[in-house]
Amino acid sequence: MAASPELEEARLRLALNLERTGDRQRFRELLDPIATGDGRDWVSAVACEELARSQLEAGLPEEADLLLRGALQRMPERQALWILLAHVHDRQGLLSRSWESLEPVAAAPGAAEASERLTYDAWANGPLERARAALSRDSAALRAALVAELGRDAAVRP
Amino acid sequence: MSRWIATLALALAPAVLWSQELHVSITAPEGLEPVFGAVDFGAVVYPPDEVARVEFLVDGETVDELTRPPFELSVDVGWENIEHRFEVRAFGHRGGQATAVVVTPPIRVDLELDIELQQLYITVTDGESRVRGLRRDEFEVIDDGARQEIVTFAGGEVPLAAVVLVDASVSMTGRRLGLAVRGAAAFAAAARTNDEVAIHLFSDRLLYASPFVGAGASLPTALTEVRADGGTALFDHLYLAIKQLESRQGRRVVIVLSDGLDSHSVLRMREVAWLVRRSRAMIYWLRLDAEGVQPARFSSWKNADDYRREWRLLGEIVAETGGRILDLQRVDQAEGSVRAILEELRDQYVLGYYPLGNRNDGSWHKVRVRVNRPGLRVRTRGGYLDY
Repeated sequence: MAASPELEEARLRLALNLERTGDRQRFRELLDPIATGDGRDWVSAVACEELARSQLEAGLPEEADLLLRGALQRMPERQALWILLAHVHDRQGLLSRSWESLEPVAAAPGAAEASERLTYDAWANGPLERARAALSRDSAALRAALVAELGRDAAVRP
Repeated sequence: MSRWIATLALALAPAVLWSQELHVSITAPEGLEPVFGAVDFGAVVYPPDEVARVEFLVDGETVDELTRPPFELSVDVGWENIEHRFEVRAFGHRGGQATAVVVTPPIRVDLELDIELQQLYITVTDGESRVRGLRRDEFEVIDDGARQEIVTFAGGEVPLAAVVLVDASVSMTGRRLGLAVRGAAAFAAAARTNDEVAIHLFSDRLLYASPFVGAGASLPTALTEVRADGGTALFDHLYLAIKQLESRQGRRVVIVLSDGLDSHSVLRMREVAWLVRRSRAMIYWLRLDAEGVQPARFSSWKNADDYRREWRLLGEIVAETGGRILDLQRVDQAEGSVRAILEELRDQYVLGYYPLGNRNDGSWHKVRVRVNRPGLRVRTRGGYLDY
């Protein structure tokens, strides 16, 4: 990621793995720029969903609500975002809002595109290959990233 | 000339001011009666084209904000016997404002009643077949250890509102989806007067959702044109089905046709379980490909333990609702199974009681029902959330 910070998919996958290890702070640091940016692709959608889930679990439903509504301005076709927003409203006791949030899902079934969560699960090889190519092009950046992460000694080992 | 312009301006001024003026009145609650629990809160605002937003406040706290009609919502005011102040503030596009207030009184202490009627839908069998013709005095209801007085009693024929939820993920490719849809359609076709049935086909997204149809209505032909595709987001769509039933009257039933292995939902099963407990809907699970073993699977989202845990919880929740699991070896058994479920629903007893000792604190109340006749088995909801 240090060599190719534009690879948001790598950032997303790292963040979700860090969350599993309990590193919630880095999880949020990595996801926040993606979730609050202006992206409209599946990576942005998953980032918003996971960050909103984390906010809800942290007892911050108002923040989750705000994040999801912002995401839906950009990606109204993403059903999971609407469903998660409805759930957030449910937990806030806002039943009518919860129903309203589900209206776009029920009113427009048959979305042609695979969901962002299926795409995340599909492990397309393209981004990984691009990441490998970027790293091999810029070995200095790779070394710097490893030094920063592991310390100088570890980085110069074969 | 300037005097003419001034005169014209004066003549137009009231009209301009009037067009900006907003009027708001509260349509519910009425303000004469005490209110408890979930309360309908509504208002009308005139002129509707002028409205930018409407704020709803209860006891000084903003509970919702709407930007377009209908200006209606449901708000939980709790169960404390106190006065409540309902306030609506309307804001116009051009700066106009209007406010309306209704104050509901507390109930007089000497009239205080717990008005929450609990209804239980009960299936009674002798181990093989269902038992009909039981009397009210043969039933006993135990709520959190305390015996309850049964105040309403009926046998069968209570209208139902149902969603048939069909897994249309890639594992249902080919004839499997067609057979599953045929089963769902058979359920809808058997609807009786006042029944309402909807069919949803889902994968990792909602592929098809019929409207709720009643007796004699035909389902859109688009139902048979859906192609199986994609992953599985069962929990998201179970959530959607339960939410759609919340506004329906009568018995609420969800029939799930799926293997129960969810890979792509944004919601966890435990989150959906919370909603199921609150909704008091019954769930029947036509479980595909189970073969009596627990699943062994992993994905980018879940490890094998996650799958097993959620699969088990789904089964537990199904039992807790008073529904049941029917294992299917083949999808072509779906049609016969939905007919069996319909017959079971028609044979259910419906008991109502006013629980003693409710605290309205969101706690779980365990419910048991016994029949005072040897050898009979009873199945009903395992409890409810005390709101």
